[in-house]
Amino acid sequence: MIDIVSEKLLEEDNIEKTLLELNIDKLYVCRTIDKKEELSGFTLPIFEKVCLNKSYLLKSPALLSSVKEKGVLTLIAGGSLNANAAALTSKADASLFNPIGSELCFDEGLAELARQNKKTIYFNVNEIRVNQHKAIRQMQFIIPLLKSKGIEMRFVTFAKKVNELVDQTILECFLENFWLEKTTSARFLEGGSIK
Amino acid sequence: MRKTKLGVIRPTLRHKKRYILLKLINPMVTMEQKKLFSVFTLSMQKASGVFAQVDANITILDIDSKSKTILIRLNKEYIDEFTGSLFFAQNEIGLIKVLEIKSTIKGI
Repeated sequence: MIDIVSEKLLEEDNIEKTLLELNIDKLYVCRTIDKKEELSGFTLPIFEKVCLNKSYLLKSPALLSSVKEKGVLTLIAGGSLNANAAALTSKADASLFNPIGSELCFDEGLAELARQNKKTIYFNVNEIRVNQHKAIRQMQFIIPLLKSKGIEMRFVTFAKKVNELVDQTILECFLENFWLEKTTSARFLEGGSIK
Repeated sequence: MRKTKLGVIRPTLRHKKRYILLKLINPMVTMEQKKLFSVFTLSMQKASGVFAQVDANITILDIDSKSKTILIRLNKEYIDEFTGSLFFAQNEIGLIKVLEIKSTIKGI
């Protein structure tokens, strides 16, 4: 299982053991970037059995040009129509993260853009715990739309604490509420492509 | 009144059961059956509704506080709904891992 977590999670005790218990062997550690200066000084600890990779969550698409590092997963925070559109139209290798806003800000046009530009859309599953009503309502519209267009999706926890992580079996069953079959959601969670 | 023998429910009419073994990683509550049962039923109710929760017939068979594992029996048809509802149960009892889902208790 592949997951994206916040860099704050690594401050917890015995985190490697917990990750291994959950069968997470590949992990993207994400830093949220508000300003250009925050891009520097991001180093990861070395774990024995869990492969850690860097990831940046850009609050604004304008920061995309400041990311010079290669092999880093770059995400652009969604949440408004403009941010979602900017993330999906950018030529750079960046993906849209969490297209859930205060009101529905995703439509068929954006889904078509994502398909044409071969973009992957990342969903924060913990949004369902925090912002339950809006997140469930919007995800019930967006996920079947993306599925019908054959767009890549990923479901990540973006956990800041240990209790925000999720076991893969639980997540697979939970995603059935969004009309995703177990095999499809397992492929998304493993990082594979939809067929 | 004539005494009649109480018949056993035929196996084909009985609810098929599944046994699920959960492990609590850093539990936030004490491993009490009452408390855990109320958390599981409430989270199932939240995710699938009260009728699904009643039909699922969740029964806690065993709690091992040393290894922090819980053995639960429930109706086969609701196994996915129950497992999915554990997503909400995590808020109250801490991180949960599904160790095994088996059709017989011997298999666990």
